[in-house]
Amino acid sequence: MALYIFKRCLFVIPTLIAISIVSFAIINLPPGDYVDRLVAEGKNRGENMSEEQIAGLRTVYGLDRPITEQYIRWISDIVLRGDFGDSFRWNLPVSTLIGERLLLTVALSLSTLFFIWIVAIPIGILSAVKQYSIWDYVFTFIGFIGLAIPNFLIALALMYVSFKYLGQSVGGLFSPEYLDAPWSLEKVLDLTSHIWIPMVVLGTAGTAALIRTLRANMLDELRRPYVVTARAKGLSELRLIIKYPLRHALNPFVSSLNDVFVNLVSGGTIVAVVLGLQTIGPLLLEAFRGEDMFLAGSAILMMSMLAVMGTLFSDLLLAWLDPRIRLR
Amino acid sequence: MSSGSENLLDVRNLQTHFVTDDGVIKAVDGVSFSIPRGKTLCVVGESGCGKSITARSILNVVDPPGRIIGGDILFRPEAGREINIAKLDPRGKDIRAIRGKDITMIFQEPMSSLSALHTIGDQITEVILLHMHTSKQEARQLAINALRKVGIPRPAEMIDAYSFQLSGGMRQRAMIAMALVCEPKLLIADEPTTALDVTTQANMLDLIRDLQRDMGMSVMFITHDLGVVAEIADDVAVMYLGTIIERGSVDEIFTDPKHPYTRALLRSIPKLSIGGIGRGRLDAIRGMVPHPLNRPSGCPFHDRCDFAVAGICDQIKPPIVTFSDEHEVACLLYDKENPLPVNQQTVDQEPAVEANFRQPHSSDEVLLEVNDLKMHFPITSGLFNRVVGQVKAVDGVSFLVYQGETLALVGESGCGKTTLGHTLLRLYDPTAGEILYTQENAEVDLAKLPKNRLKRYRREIRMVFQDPHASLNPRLPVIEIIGEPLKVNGLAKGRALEKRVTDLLQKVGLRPEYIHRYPHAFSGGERQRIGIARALAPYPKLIVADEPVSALDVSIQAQILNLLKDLQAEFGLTYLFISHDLSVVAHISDRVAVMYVGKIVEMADTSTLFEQPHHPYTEALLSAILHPDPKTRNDKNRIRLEGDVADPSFDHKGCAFHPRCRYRQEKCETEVPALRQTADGHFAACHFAEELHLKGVQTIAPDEILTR
Amino acid sequence: MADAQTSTDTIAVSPETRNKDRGVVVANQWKLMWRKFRKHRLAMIGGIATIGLYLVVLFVEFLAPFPPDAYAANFTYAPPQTLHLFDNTPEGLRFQPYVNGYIVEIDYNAGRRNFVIDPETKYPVGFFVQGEPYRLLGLIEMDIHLIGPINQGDPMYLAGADRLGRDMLSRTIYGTRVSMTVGLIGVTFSLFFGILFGGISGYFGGVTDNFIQRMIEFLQSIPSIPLWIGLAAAIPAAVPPVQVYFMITLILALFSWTGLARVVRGRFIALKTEDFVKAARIDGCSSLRIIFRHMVPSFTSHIIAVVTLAIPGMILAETALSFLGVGLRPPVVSWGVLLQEAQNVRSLSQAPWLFLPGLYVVIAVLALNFLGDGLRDAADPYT
Repeated sequence: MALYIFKRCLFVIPTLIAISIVSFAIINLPPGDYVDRLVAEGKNRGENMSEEQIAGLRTVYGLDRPITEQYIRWISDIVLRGDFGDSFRWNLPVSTLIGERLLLTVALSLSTLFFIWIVAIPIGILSAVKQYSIWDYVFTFIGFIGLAIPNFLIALALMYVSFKYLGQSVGGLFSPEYLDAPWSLEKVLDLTSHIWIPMVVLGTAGTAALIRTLRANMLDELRRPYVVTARAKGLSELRLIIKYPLRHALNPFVSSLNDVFVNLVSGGTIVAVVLGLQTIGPLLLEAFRGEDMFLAGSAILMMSMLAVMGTLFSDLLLAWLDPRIRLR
Repeated sequence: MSSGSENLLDVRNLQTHFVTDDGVIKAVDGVSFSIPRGKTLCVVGESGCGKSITARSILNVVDPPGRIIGGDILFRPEAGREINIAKLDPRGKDIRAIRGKDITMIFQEPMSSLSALHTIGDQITEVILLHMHTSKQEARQLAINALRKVGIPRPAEMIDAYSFQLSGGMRQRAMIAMALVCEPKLLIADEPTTALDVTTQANMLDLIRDLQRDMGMSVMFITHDLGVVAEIADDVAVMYLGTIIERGSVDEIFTDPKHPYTRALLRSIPKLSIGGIGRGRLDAIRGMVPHPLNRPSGCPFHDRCDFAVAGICDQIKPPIVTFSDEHEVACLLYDKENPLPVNQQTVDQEPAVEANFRQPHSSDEVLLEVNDLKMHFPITSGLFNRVVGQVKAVDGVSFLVYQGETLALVGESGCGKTTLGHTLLRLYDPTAGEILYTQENAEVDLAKLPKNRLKRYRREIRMVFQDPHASLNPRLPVIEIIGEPLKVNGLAKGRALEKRVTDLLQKVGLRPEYIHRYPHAFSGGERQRIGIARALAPYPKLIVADEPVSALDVSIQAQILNLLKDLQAEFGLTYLFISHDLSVVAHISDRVAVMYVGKIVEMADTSTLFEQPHHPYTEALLSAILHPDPKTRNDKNRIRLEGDVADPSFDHKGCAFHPRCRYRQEKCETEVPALRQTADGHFAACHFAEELHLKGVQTIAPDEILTR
Repeated sequence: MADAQTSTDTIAVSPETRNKDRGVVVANQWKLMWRKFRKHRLAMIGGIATIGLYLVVLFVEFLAPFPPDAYAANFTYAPPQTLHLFDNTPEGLRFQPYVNGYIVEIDYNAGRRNFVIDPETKYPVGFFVQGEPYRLLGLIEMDIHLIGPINQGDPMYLAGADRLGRDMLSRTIYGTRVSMTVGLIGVTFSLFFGILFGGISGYFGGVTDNFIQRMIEFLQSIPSIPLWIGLAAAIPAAVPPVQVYFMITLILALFSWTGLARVVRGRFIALKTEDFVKAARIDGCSSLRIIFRHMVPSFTSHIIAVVTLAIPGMILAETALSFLGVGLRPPVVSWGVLLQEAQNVRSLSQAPWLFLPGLYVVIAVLALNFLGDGLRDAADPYT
């Protein structure tokens, strides 16, 4: 087991390096750099910069160096000093901008994950055990619909309904008075009272998908010989289902967890934009629009790292759950 | 029939049906039998006859859509207490108290019948905690004791093992421990030895029999293997299409079978007999078990029965005729009120067997010469797939195949016999060695031939596969499947190809009209015939037959063996026949090579090898054969091999067999014995081949078979 | 002697095959799949809906009453009209379709115009009427539209109007073309990559396989939408819309081929060890013949199913990107681009019909999911 954990953790390192390269490559893809943009903005205001000024700016931002050197500087600052660079746009350290939002992204993703589990597991079991019952059909239908509606549409619809009929906006993770307030118990409570809407919106597709996965897994497992063995022992149906088929069905469920988590981080971006959440997503979009390269790069890096950590966690969970991985 | 009151179990007119979209499958259709206390009832039948469903019905654990729809299952745990299991709620408390405590079950596949995610101990203590009032500590101790009792070494450690960490035999032992830990009154064993090797099977039967004697329980044993029946049964019930067509004591069934099906079944299995080794045709039952949705009216067996009388057997449901207290037959032949217009004489007379005792066919012409052939597979591990070892599946094998003979390769699973067959056909590229094939008096080394020059030899060396379902491409019709080697080799096309395929179909006993059908329209036996036709298509010389009958039912097995023999005689074919079944091998082969862990340990002509083996492993294998004759049971001299087949990835210092060999000496642990000639035409890889006086097979004189 | 014996003991017409429908025994895999697929009612409905949507794609110009960019500033956020099929004429109730006109009320408090349906004004509407000229399928010059106002210039907003008074119905129909083909073309791209890499991985095995597998794992472990945003943002503003369209589909395909590659590889490896493939080798078939005659037909059906199930993901992704404003750009009309109009809650509350393209997204995704599920279940008719 220890060896497995070690190996699995070791594997994260090349992944992270690859992610950092990809992130850096993407933020350098757009033609022109931040200085070009400044120059253009200056032109619009009627200020013309001299060649020296431009070159000077490039030196200040380090944009005159070869691309590999820029990358190495960027990544070594992050790794060695925890310095993610400054946002050109906000003139603030990226870490300041991202810090709290990262925390909120994690909170939102995790709470959504638990929401999905709490809803999907019992429904999945019920659908499988009572296959072809009315409940099975109802949940299968709901599941299909849940998969088919993009979550930003649900968010929009929710906002429309609350605006039209309740006369208020449902966006955001905090009430206005807590938005810039320092963290306190009240702020956390305020967060919990707001987080459930994005949680439900974001969790719909995942819940629908997991119900279907679990149902299919359970149906497979319910026909296995070990179920007959357990029944022939005299176990009651409920205990039997929980101890054997459910336990077996949870393995592929856990291994699909990383997909779910990645999708949450990924899909959260759009929902956050629609609902105006204080997570990384909207910041990322802004940064790309403004060619704010360090901010964008760090945001992508952070989100990818989050996903990688989620994947690592689900793999370790699976190894803990499944002796066949642990002991072989 | 013994008067029921003191029997442990009386089943009366049990009916278990499956309602499907295509119709109602009457898997168990009015079955009645009894199991006396402390006795063993064997339920025997071919696949699909409903024997497993009968077993599961007794605990009412049939998977949906199956359901008991009628009949009684009277269970008497103690004298004076009677429970009708069929009438209990299948999920209720009462039946759950019986399951796992009074009546327990073991299954064919211990791997899938045990949960891989729970330890053995967890699954055993679960039963104890359910049915006995003990603490967890006591339960664990009881479980350890149970494991010890079934012969699992180091039970205190093994209790925390997972099923996938155990070998097949050990898993089945754990399963038995789980079934017996609450000391049941009745153990239902559903083909518990079918998935095991012969040597392991023999050990397992011993174990069940010993435990039964010690605990005084009854056993209901489901099997398709008449050898197992002869070994273990007190009473026998023969099932066919959901009904019991004959039942009686084991002696009555084997010495005086009444039902034509029972008789045919007994005749269709190859038997070892002195004069008969390797010779003669088998009496196959024609046709096949029909699909349960197409159950024939009247007697279910009538369309395969040699004695069936049109207008009677296909109309009237046969009544049960009682011969003795315990011997009952469901056949119209014996119906006293309406006797069939057949006299008893014809019934007793066996159908004429063709006198086809041909001489050993082998000539001196060598067709194939294999020299020191090796096939090693690398074992990789780690992130970068480093090679950390070699599985030596075939490790230095040499032998000759003579023109026109049948050479059998026998051995237990994992001995490398299938890999050897595949390597000869160059499905793998051998690691080392030569495969010299003689063609028109010139030899070619197939082992080193580049792939593009193999084609013409692949025409002459063909293969028949074990699994008739996997070996035919489901997406091609029969004409394309059989015609493929003709087309690819440019032997025929268009009309000529169609003609050739039609001829081949007839040769293998299939109707030429089937030419445009797809494989899914055929049964297992028919598919195997198609596979044989494909092998025959490009006029081959040598056919490697890899366990061609082991996936088939007994009655179908006889048909295919006969077909193979007929084709050999007609086309002068040479066979390399790979099998684990020694009775089949004795029946079909001229010479036999025994393999153990990638090496040939003994090779001789069939009768010599069976009568005077020169290798202890061969002796043990022969000793593990279960004869379909209750007289040979309880053989005190039977050799029991302990332990498992050696690991082929391990570098063996001495003889690979020595840890299990009862004759081992110091030399065996240090020196690898070479395969050497120990007598004329007899080869063995044992240091002491000449000094040991090994025991051959328990032979039965031919006239003893089916004596009444 | 062999013949005599075999003919009696073996000519075995199994009753099983005898009683079966004669067609089944000679049915090839596609026929068997069709038999199985037909039983799946939802899949049939999904299939029909999918075909319908792609027919819309082909005949957009004919089906849409107006061009997508025809605007009328007077009709900003005009609500949907009801299409009346029958009218009370002097001769009695006749089939004479019409729509009612609008009365504009100006809400001074809110500072906006409100449209009220005016039952008095009637604009005759006809089927197969003349309208804007177009080329059907890019070939045939026509000016007939399925439905439209008989007098060109009459207002007809069956599904309401948007901010610039453009007909939502026409725009949604035009959006179908882009959104549905994005899925199809994107899937074609990812099919290409998937088969290429999956095939290489499965065929060569070893180090190559290992490398490709690690690459796939990596791609699957990073969140796609942030990367899509990054890549899409990198497309310069000056790039013409058609190129943007192809670049976006390529970006989408960049992350979705991994699933397909895994399927292809898995099938390839499983099939390589199948007995019937070994048999084909023994028959003397060349590698190419083995692959194309014996292996590929065994997994095409699975591939088709997986591909069908991948299309909805593509459609959703395109919609999401365009919705965020980093995907397709106007004047290209896709469902996502149209939904961008609905981003603002205020405009939504004023004109809820802006949701219409969302409904189409849901219908398309549902239909393709049902169809794909049915195909997947029918993909292996032999189990």
